[in-house]
Amino acid sequence: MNALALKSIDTETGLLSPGRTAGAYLTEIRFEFMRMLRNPALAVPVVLVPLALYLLFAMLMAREAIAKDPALGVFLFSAFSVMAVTMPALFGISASLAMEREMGLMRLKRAQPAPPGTWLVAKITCGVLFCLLSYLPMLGAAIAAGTLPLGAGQIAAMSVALIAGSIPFCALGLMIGALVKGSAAPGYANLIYLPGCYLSGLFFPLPPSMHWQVPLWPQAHINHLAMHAAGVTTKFPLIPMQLAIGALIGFTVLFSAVALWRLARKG
Amino acid sequence: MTTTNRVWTDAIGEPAETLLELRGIRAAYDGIDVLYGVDLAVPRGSVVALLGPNGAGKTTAINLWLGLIEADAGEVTLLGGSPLDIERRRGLGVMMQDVEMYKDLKVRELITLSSSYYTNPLSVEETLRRAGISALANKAYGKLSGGQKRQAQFAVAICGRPRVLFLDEPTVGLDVQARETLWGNVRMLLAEGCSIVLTTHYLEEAEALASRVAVLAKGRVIAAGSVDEMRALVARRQITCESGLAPEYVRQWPGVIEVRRERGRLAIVAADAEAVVRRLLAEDSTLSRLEVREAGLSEAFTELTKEAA
Repeated sequence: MNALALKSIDTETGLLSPGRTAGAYLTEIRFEFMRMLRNPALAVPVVLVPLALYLLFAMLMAREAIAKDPALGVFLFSAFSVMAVTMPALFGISASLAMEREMGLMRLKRAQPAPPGTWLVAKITCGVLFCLLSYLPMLGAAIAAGTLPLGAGQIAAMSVALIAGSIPFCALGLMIGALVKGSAAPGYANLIYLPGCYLSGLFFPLPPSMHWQVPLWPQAHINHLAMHAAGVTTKFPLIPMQLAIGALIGFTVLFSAVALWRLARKG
Repeated sequence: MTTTNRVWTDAIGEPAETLLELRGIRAAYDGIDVLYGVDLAVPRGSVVALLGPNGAGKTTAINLWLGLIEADAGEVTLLGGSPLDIERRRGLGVMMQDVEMYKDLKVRELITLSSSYYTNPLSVEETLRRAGISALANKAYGKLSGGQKRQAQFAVAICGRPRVLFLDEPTVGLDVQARETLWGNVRMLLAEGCSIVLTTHYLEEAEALASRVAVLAKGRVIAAGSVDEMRALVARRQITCESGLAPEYVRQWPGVIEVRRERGRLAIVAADAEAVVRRLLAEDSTLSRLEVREAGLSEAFTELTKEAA
């Protein structure tokens, strides 16, 4: 089968050119994204569930209340958007990484000469892209239905805060994916995610006696940062913006460090 | 038995350029030594087969060269430097055992992805052609049979024009034709100057491909050399013949290790084959279909690992 004239295998080693290095990162991102798109069992729920819940609660059940109190509209939009941007990041990355570890792929990737962190950059980039896919339909629906009474600048600022806020959840997904088995990853992700949604006061205001524990949940910081960005700062008690940003960076560093530490030792 | 710390030589007896080396390696998992005092070298343009029973330390040795684990003591060299240097790893290709690739990606895409890590990879088409899997290019990896998956993994391993190729049980699950194709590829890579580290449980595969063999047992290299040198380590030979002599009687002769009757023929394993053949001819005038065969790698392996146990 290989009777073709073949070039000699040369002693090619050494540095990748900047162009090929960039190409390696882009190729990794492209195929990571294609894999996510080709996995509808993951893609469809994470894109549709937050949108469906937003349509149900904000547009059907709370429509009159929003008409009377526009800040409630921003509150609900922010809450369900946090859900939209964090679910794909957390569930998509944790499950896929855990399965890849079980398949031995992380060992292969460590042996291959990929530029440093290509898979990490690809996972986080695709996590953020998926968050966009999940977030944009909700934003479109809110604008079309008039349930998001904000100016374009406020919407843009809020969107940036929400999308950037998905990064700590990408890191959390990496940490869970690095620590547990593929079959267990969604369970562990839920174990952290669902209590966080409720105890962070994402969907309903908490009694003052529970305010002390709100900063423990990453969801709270994204939500409050988005509310700051939207300029809705007086209606609800919010975590100060600097603290929210610092906490999100801290969560990202902590989760990533645990993930990388674990992967470097166990693969 | 050969020394474990040997300098390999090329065909004309000159020391060959060493591309990979383990020197005085000790590696332990959970406090238990998996490799102890191991010295191994892989010269340029050779196929070195690492053989040994399960748990002998073969995979640990490969993992050291791949930079996946670090030795507790000793020195690991890959292409003249540390295997942790990414530039060194650009000179290697790897086909691991027990690794599944992305099942959602097509074979062509898997090769494209891995090719992007190398400075001067083969084109995707050429890689597919070399691996003999052009027909599988647009099939999703998850839809391939077990043997086809191994072929795709081989393609991924060679796409970067490796100077050193690690093949861990490469032909498990392959049909005869696919195995022949892979063997042909290994020989072609060898002719082009690539060095290959092969682990296999198929001793006929090592016999067919390897220019050098290292036998590991209990974390040590118990023998190393060419396949012929390995065979020579085992003095015993196999004698078969049609004879009316009883196996129980022949078993008592000096120089006889083992006797059994197989399909009507006497099968004798002898340490001193010449003496046994002389006595067979003297004692049985009806003796016919006499064959004397040297020990193969398989017998050598069995004897060596039995000694080490």
